Amino acid sequence: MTITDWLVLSFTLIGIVIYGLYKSRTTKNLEGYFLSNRSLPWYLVLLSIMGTQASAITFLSAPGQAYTDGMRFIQYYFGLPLAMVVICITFVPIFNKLKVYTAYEFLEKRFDSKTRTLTSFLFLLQRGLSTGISIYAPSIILSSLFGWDIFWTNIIMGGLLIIYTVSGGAKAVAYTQQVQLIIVLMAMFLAGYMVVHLMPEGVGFYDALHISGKLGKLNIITPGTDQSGFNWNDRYNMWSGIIGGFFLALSYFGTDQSQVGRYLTAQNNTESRLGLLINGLVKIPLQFFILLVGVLVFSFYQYKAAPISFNSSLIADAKSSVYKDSVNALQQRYDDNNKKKQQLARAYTNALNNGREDSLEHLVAEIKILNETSNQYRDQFKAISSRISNKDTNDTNYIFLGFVKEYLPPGLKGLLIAIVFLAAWGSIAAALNSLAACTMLDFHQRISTGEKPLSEYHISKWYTLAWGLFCIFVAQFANKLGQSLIEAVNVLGSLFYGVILGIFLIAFYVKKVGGHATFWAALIVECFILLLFFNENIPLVSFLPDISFLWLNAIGALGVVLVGLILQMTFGVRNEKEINIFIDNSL
Amino acid sequence: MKYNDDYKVPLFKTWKTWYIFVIAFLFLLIIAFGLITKYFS
Repeated sequence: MTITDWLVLSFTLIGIVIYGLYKSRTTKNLEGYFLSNRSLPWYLVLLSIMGTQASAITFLSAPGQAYTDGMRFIQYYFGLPLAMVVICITFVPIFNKLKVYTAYEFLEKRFDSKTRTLTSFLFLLQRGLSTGISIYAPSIILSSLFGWDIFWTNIIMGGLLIIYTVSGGAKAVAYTQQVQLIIVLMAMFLAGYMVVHLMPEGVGFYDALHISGKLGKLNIITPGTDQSGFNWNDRYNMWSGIIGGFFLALSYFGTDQSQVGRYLTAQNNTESRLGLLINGLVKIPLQFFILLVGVLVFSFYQYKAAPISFNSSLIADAKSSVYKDSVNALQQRYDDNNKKKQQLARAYTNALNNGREDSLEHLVAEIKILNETSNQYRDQFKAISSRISNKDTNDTNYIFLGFVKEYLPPGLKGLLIAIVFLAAWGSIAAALNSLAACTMLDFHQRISTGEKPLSEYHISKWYTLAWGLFCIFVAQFANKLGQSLIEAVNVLGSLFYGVILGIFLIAFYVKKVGGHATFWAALIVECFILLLFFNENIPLVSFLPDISFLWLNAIGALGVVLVGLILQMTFGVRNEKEINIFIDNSL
Repeated sequence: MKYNDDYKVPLFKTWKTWYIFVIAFLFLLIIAFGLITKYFS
């Protein structure tokens, strides 16, 4: 990195912290700290929702995903717009009418205190640990690529934002997220432009799309079927996106306090709803653009030499290990293969531009074979790397930043590194604010008595600080988790999200099920989910089938509803409060 | 909450219109993406 990169990086990060502190000035009480006095307009709510969802890994992982697997990942978001409408009709007016601070506060009004406590506890556990991993995941990528010390990268990634999050609460979070998201999107647009600009002479945007399309990377719509019918193991297709994505978005935006806390900051229902609805409309085009950058990077590496691994630290480790001779030989074969591929890619573009359609098919077939050979060499390298260290050998998340490091000019490189921090800060700040809100509202306030709002406001700041330090602490130990960190976050979420969604589904839609039945159903199903996931390690339940973690969401949600109904019908007695909330707030 | 707007539907008159709008939006998006997929494949 040059001095210009360091200046751009430092100026951007310090600027955001100062801006966050400046916006903190007017926050003086608990409602201001956690809900920004319910004063924000829809466009700030929108940017805050988007900034919370889009973490650093979103901007690092999505282009890498498009590079390796094409654009079909976009289908994952197809259920999101419909989920936004359902949340606007059902969740938003009830949360706002009851003037709750946290989503789980509603559960006490609908059920009882123990159901609220259990749900809030599950949220704190899941969100606290996953935020720690969200700090570590981008830090380890930056640390590996630029040789930074992981301890200090974690501290800066998770630490600087604590200054304005502690000081200004939800308002500082929302205003900084607005600036962060604008900078991030502008930088991504610049990066996309630069990828095309850096293509060899005579290769333009259309040529780049053409070659990537022919090589299967513009597979935006996939039906999920093969010769034997619908493939249930296919993770990203149109139907899993619409149906699975709908439930996932309903769960995340409707029951996760880090998102609920964003739209509760709106002036009224209309502003909350507009923020959510517009988010539903812009999310897919935005994700399309981010994935497109990844496809362009793929095209770029058809004409230029791609490294055998985008994680340069793995290459350095391998070349200084006992396997160095076999690695060097592998590298030589890989480079020779790449040279042939580059020549054919140029020939393909020349044929395309000169209207020689007849030779295109033959050239594409040859490039495909060379790409497959490249992937085989890359796999061989990963196998060697996994013998050398316990580092993650999957380099998907390193692809985009690897390109940035290698090819972008000074200044822009610093800006692109800055957006990794900004994107991380946006989601981490919202998480810390929501963790502190749940700790204060769902636990502290109910246990302690006789305190004035002012002291609660100050204690909330300490809770934010404590959660920030806890998350950094988790980040410092996250390397013990092993290889795929993204999967670790998803697995962690899937262990709890389904049960939390199930509780809310009963609360909103199954009015005859009461608090006791819901509480015990949630506990039973949560234990079952944990047993199902860890079945290999527990001899007594080893007969349970191995199920992909993504299915745990659906099993958890539907399981709580089903067990809740059975318990209610068998033992159930409901108290009047549970009925009255819907009579009082019939919507 | 500055005023009670529980029943107010933003931009459109009813939620049914929002459902139709979102489904039409998704449908058009899927058609457009499908055309791009087909054209470049």
